[in-house]
This record gives sequence, structure tokens and C-alpha cells, in this order.
Amino acid sequence: MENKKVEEMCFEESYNELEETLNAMEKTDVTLEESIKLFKRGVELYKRCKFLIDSASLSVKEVLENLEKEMEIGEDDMGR
Amino acid sequence: MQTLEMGVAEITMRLISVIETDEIFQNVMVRGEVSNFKFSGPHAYFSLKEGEYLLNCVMFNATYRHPSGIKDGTVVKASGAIKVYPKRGTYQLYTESILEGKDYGELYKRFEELKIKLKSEGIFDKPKKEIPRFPKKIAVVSSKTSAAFHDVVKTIKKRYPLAGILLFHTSVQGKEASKEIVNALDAADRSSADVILLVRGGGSIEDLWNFNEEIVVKKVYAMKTPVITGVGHEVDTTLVDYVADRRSPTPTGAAEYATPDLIELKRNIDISFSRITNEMDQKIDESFDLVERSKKRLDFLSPKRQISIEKERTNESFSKMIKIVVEMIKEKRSSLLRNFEAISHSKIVRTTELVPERLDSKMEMMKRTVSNDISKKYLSLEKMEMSLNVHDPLEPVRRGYAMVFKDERLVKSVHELKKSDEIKLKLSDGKILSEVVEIEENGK
Repeated sequence: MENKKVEEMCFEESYNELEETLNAMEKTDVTLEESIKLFKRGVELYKRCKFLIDSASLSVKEVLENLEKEMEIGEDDMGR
Repeated sequence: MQTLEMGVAEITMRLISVIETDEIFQNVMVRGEVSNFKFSGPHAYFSLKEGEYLLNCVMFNATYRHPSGIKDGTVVKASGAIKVYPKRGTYQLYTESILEGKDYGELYKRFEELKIKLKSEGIFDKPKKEIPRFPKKIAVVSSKTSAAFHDVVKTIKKRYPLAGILLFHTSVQGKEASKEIVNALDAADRSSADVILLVRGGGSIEDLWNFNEEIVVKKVYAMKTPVITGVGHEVDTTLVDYVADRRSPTPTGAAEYATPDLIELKRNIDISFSRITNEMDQKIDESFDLVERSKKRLDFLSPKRQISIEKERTNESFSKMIKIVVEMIKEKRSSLLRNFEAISHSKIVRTTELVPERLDSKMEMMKRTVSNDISKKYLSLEKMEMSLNVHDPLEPVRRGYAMVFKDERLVKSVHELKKSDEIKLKLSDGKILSEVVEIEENGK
């Protein structure tokens, strides 16, 4: 599961792996070394999720803004 | 539902309010055969009949208004309003005008016969095809000059201008019209239209007769494309209405059935739009919450915590280890002590215990003895040296004495020599070789 580069993951993938990582960390028999490895991965995945959410909300905002502009132009045309 | 209780007056008033607010009832032209025509003063009272149905009519001041030829059995069209007559609990047509009509009795008979025939053939049981919600092309089978066609076009353009309109022109009245209608329907069915409107404005049963013809009904029945009929006015029913996938009372109504309302559609789209934006916002919020929750878990599960646990565990292990070592040392010490005690209590030890002491004193003695010895020897050596020095044979020679040697041996007594012996005399600065001449012993 750690083969895929975090930067190439979609939200669902990175979120699912984040969950898996957390579950793995929760296991009592995990060694400190492993736990550090998992933690690093977890942080990477968290950052990825955050980034994707931020860009999603940004693109929604952009789309809505563009739409508003287009609507304004459209209404002008209708008025003519 | 609860049963309402009301007085006669109340129920009558309700009936009046229902009937007198209905637009059609208030302005309608009713066809029928006149019966029981009579005057009472200037007012005419009569009934209109059609088959087994009967409608009471009254025409006030009829003397001046009604056509002269009207008598029982005449087919007429009476216009006016339907009203309730509360005193008698009846309703009647308050007639404003009467037009003399044709006798369509024969046509009605044919209509009923055909209806029964087609019904028995199962043609009316045809399953209805679904009318597309958003038609791309709408075929209109109608006369291009008819008001019906124009109404349809107007309605489509107003409600749903996105749809294309294909006209399949046909005459809709007259003897040859049935065939034309069938051909037009056939062409429409083969076109790219996804719904077909078969429309015609209102008229008498004779005018609309083509829409009762068997070939037209059977053609509509056999159509692959959904057909909506809008023939005549609200009151008119033709046989094609029974086989159409949807029937509408008027051409305008047919156009309405065929099209979604653009205004309503826009409203729906707006609603859909706010729904998707809300959904999107919600999705983002949800994802955000999920991720933040994971973040909290991640913080909670971070090795920081584990490190402190490990540290504690290590500390614990360390103190455990120390404890063990201390215990071990203690144990060793006590076992040593035990052993020591055991040994010290054994006989051998008791005896051997004294050995070192003895040895020590011996040693001391030895040391003392040896050192005494050594110092004594040393002293005697010194003495010896001194005496040696004193007894150095050369010493007397240096003081002027001579030493006598015979055969390299020191001669100490006259007895060692005889006459003529060769002797050597050693002096401090050299030797003398001589011969014994005379021996003279002391005291002799």
C-alpha cells in the first residue's frame, strides 16, 4: 500500500490509507520504529487530504465565480 | 375523513358556488335535441336530449329571441350558463341564444357503434407509450392554416423553445381527409420526431368525423411514436382520443402535455443548482471534518506518546534491572557470608587460620635474622676489608721490608729453605735474585 506516491493519490485513496495507517498505529503490538514510520506516512496523507480539500473548495469557488460572471454577461445580452 | 353534517341550505350553497365558479358551466354551448318545448308567458321552457341524457333549459323573454323553426325534435345549439335552481333542487341551462343545428342523430349512432366495435377488437386496450419529458422534435399533424396549429406552435415556443417543430400538413375536414390524415401520421411516424401531436380545432361531430374514422383510429393505434391528441374543444370526444397515448381536450392542451414548462424547468434547474452547490459544500465540509478527526487521531497516536510510553517502559525496565542487580548482589553477598561463616566454622579453617600469623612471625623473624645476618656479614666484610688492608703483604714491603719467595712461594720459615737455594727477594721497587749462604734459626 505504501508503493503509491502520495502526490498521485486522489482524496478517497489518501483518506482510506490515512484510516488504515491510523488503525495500524492503534494496534498494540506496533514497534516504536514502525510507529514512527506510520506516523510520517500519516502526516503525508493528512497533508494530501488537506491539499485536495482546499483545492476542491477553491475550484468550487472559482466555478461559481465564473458562473456569476457568465450569468451577468448573459443577462446583459438578454436585455439588449 | 369525517362526515360533515350540514343543512339543505348549506349544501345547496356549496353546489351553487361549485357550479357558478366553473368557467365552462358559465359559458357553454350545448348540443341536443329539443323536447317539451313550451312557453309560459314570455319565457320558454324545454329540455335538450342526447340519447338517454337530458338537460333542463329555460330561456327568459324567448318570444323575441328564439328562432322560429324550433320545435320538439329539432337539433339545436343552446348557449348560456348552467345554474342551480335552489327552490326545486335542480340545475338548468339559462339559455341566452339558440342556433338551429343539423340532425346528427345518425352520426352519433355510428359513433357509438364504431366505439363498441373497436372496443371489442381490443384496440382501446393498447398500452400507453411514455411521452418524452424533454422532446427534441415535435411533429404536428394538422392543417397548416388552422388556428389549432398556430395555438400549438405558440404554446411550444412559449413553454419550451428548445424543441423543434415539424409540420405534417393535412386537411382535417371533408371526405378525403381521413386518408390524408393517415398519410401525414405515417410520415410523422417515420420522421425524427419523438412525439406527435394530432390536433384540430373545435367543430360539430360532422366536422370532427374524420377523427372517428376506423382507418385513422387504427393508424393511431399502430403508431410507433407516442401520439397526443387534441381534437375539438373540452366537450368533444373522438375515437382517436381512446387510442392516443395521451388525450388532451384542446390543441393547446396537447402542446402543453408534449412540453415541459420552461419557467418551471428553470425553477427546477435553479433548485437543482442550489442543491448541487449545497451538496458540494456539505461534501467538502464532511471531508474536512473527517480529515480533521483523523488528524486528531494521528496526533493522539503520534510516536510522541509512544516514545513517552517507551521511555517509561525503559525506565521501568532499568529500575527493574537495577533492582535485580541489587538483589543479585545482596544474594551473592549473603551467600558469600554464609559460605564464609561455614568455612570459618570448619576445623581446617580454624587451624589454617593461624598459619598466616605464624608465618608472619616466622617471616618477621627470618627477616630479622636475615637482615642481622646480612648486616653482620656486611660488618665482617668491612672488618675483613680493613684487616685485609692491614694484612696487605705489600704494605710491609712499602714500609721497607722484603718478601722472600722460593719457587714463587712466600717463605715464612727458615725451615722452608736450605743452603744454596735460589731465592727471590721482593722489594717495593724491584726484585733481587740471591742464594742462601747460611741458615740461622732464631734462638739457636
